[in-house]
Amino acid sequence: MEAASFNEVDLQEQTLEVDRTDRRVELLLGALASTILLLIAGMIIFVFVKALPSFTHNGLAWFGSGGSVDDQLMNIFNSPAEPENYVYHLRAWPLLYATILITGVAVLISVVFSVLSGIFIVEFAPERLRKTIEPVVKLLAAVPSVIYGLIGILVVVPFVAEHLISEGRKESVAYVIQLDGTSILVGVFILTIMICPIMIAIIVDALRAVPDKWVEGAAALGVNRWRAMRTVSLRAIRPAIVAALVLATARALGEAIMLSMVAGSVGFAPNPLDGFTFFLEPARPLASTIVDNAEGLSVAPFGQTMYAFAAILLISSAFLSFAGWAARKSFSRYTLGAR
Amino acid sequence: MGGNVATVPMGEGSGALPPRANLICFGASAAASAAVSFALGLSPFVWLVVTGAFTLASISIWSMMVEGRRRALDRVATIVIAEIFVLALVPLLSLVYTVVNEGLARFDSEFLTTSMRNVLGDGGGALHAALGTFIITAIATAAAVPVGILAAIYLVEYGKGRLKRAITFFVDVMMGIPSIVAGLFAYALFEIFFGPGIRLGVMGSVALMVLMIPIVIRATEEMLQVVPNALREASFALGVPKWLTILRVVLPTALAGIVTGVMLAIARVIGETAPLLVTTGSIDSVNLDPFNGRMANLPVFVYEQYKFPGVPPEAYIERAWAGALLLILIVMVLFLAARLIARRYGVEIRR
Repeated sequence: MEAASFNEVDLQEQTLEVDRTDRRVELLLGALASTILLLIAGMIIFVFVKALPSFTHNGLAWFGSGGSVDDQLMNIFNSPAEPENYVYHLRAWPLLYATILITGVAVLISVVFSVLSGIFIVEFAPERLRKTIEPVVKLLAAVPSVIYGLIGILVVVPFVAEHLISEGRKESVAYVIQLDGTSILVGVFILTIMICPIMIAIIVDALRAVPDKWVEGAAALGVNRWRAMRTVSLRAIRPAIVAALVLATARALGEAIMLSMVAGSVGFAPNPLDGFTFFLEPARPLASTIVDNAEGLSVAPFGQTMYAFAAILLISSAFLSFAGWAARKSFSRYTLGAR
Repeated sequence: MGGNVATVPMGEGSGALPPRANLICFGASAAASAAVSFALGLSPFVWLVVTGAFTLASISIWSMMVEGRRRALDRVATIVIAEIFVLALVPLLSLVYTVVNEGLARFDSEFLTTSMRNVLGDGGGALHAALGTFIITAIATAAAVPVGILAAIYLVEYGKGRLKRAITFFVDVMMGIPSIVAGLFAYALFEIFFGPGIRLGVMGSVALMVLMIPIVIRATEEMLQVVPNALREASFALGVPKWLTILRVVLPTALAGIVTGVMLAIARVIGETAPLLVTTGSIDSVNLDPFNGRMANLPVFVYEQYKFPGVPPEAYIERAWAGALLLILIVMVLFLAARLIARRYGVEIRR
């Protein structure tokens, strides 16, 4: 450094220069980070603009039931080429119902499984076992869904068809639907296996972050291990459980390929009044419907209908994130901050 | 019996089971249910279920009699949790086993060196799909990683106030966006310029990029937050400006963690099928140009081999399994590499 830099004025100028560079870097990074907001805004606009005709033509009846949804989709696909004659008539209830049913059941089951498995890994498993399990769980969370689908359709579905579906059962619903093993049962089963690792990974990380002192404090008061877990650790990681729940639900909502392979891919609303047969009936959620009809996107009204499905998925996942954020916020005063 | 003092916190019971009581019960139950299953000729699956039930019943009764209610409850909870864990693990492990077992049938040199061009029935391979997956993912990574890392630096080092909160929240939203929606977004974007029915490799990259950005941001954020503040303060104290501190001190410290996070993000998106199905389409021959025509990739290859089998269908199903095995291997290699890097270079910032 030259001697001149000892000059008071020079030093001030240098500091200013540094400040200015820093300011510029901050602005640059901020602008870049803001492009993410743009990206999301763009996404919402693109999807909704394309989805609009389907909603406006059907109004609220879009969400209702009535007629066969697969026939309606076929009519939309085959609608005349002139824009004024496009067919949009759709009653999407069976698809919405399938989405809610499969996602809801799978998430409920996996919350219980994951919380208990997480407790086992962190609190009960021997150190050596834990060290092998944790990476395995994280690896399983990244297994592609097409592989789960392959296993479902080639291993689980034949098993179900052979062992759970008798001739009598087939005949009992033969006039509405064909039972061939692809069913909401298999869909929920595989979906549960898919989202469990995601939740377990998050819950394990959170449980590990619970200070030992808290659990030891409970133990010192004479509380046994299980009770200490329930009253101290589980309560402390509530934000993480909510985060896991949100992520897993989002994943389940958007699961397309696997469910289109194993859940039957029929626009049918399984009827709970059928007893156990209910679980063996096929269905097709929204995301699978889009994937199944990927090649039809270029038919204008049909593509717009697919975008309407995507819009519903987008709203639901955004709403989920918001609900999760609000829930975590309400917990955060008393618990470990999962941010 | 000892004095009252020792027994009071333990509940009503006074005795204690031998130290390995849970294991003993499990062993006895396994043997007992093996005998029952063998006698009745039941499947191993039933054996497993019966073992679980027996273990639970025997330990609860034994502990109840000797140790009292509270300890018995603790033991029952332990067993139930362990059993549920095993229940969760069985399908997971059988998955890997099935894929390896079925995939090996066609996992040969031909599979790795040929495409599906002019292949009907037997033979053929996934070279075109593997190359496509590589190109599509590479472009997505090249686009998503800089954006993700820089955004994370902004959020951790500079961001404050409403903008930071907004971005953090929307990264959360982005994390939950269904992959198929990302695919449709890419399709809508390119449809504007290229007209309906367009399918390009780079469209798949855009869809994967949308999915990757939030994962990279989250991973980088986490790593930057672990860098001790003392390092930053020491650098500031020496008169180093903030941006230089980030470049020379913070980033190098967090580098191993960031690289790990990026590799895990790649592993997460490399198997995405739905968005690629609507953006890249599928094709039977090698296409190395992401800006021209359809581009095959592994997930879609697996899906299509299963979905549209020709004659004989076995050949197609075998190729699907082999493709699945290749996909799982790629994911595994990425994972192992990530762990290795984290372990080798990430020591200083371990929590």
